[in-house]
Amino acid sequence: MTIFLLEYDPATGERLRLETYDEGHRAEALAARLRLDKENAVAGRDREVVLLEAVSEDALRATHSRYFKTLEELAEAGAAH
Amino acid sequence: MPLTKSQIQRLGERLGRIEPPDPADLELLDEFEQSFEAALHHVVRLIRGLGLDPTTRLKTRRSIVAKIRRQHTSLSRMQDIAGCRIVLEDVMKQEEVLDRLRDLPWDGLEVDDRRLRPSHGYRAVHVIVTLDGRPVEIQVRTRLQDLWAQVSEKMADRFGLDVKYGRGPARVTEFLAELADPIGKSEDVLLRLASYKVRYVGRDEELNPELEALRTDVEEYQSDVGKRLNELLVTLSS
Repeated sequence: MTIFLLEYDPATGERLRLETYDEGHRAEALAARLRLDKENAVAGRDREVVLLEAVSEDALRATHSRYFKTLEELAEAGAAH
Repeated sequence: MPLTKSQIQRLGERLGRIEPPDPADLELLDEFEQSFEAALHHVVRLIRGLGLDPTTRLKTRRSIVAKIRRQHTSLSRMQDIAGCRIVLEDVMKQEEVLDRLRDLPWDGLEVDDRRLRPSHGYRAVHVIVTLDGRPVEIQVRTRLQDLWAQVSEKMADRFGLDVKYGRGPARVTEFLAELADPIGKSEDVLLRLASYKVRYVGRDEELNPELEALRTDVEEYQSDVGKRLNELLVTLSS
């Protein structure tokens, strides 16, 4: 399993950060999430900072496509299926 | 020392009231969320034993605060602080996985079947299991249920969080309802079709016009999903 630290700007739908950590570095991933949450709070930024864990980035993209696709891309992929 | 229930309660109240949050409260929230990690990883180990690959997540501060403000939910009573998601090909596979999840050795299990009671169009099954006194939410979705949920989230980003709760611009809520309708119908018919197949096992299905009619219904509903999405693409590009 890989840990993914993702920062997302809901206003623009843009993924700002995607960092990966292996399972042995969970404490670092949690610390990085807390640091980003604090920085965003102080700056008054509305951001999602989320810690996810999946077997691969492809698996993460399959379950959390919102962070990786625009609305148009989601609609196109759904219509084509 | 783990946080007491009243400390968690007060933390939730402050997070719901104070914006931006105090950095000390963010540290307490982090500590509270980390107390779910052991249960979450135990849940994932059990699910992976079924040959499935869930994605786990700790609830974001943004979602926790939004939920406290929207539903006046107490932080100590939130059941989805830690969770994981499984996306499956179709509703038959969803049923099979739900049966297998029910058989795992949890301390407690609750099933919230939002296919029977969709939340403003959101359909999925949430299984809330308890391990070591900590609830963990397992979201079990089909590909189509997940597609609707991701589109809804993306629209909420663009048109405001209210969209997820049936409010906001009428054209957006109407679109989401129109997309949810054929998804729900196609999955209901697929389940009926599956139960017919069990009943008619060993018989020549071609002789059964009812099965053919159900297959045609599924195709039509799924085609409606594609049409709705194509209409959305046209609207977005205009």
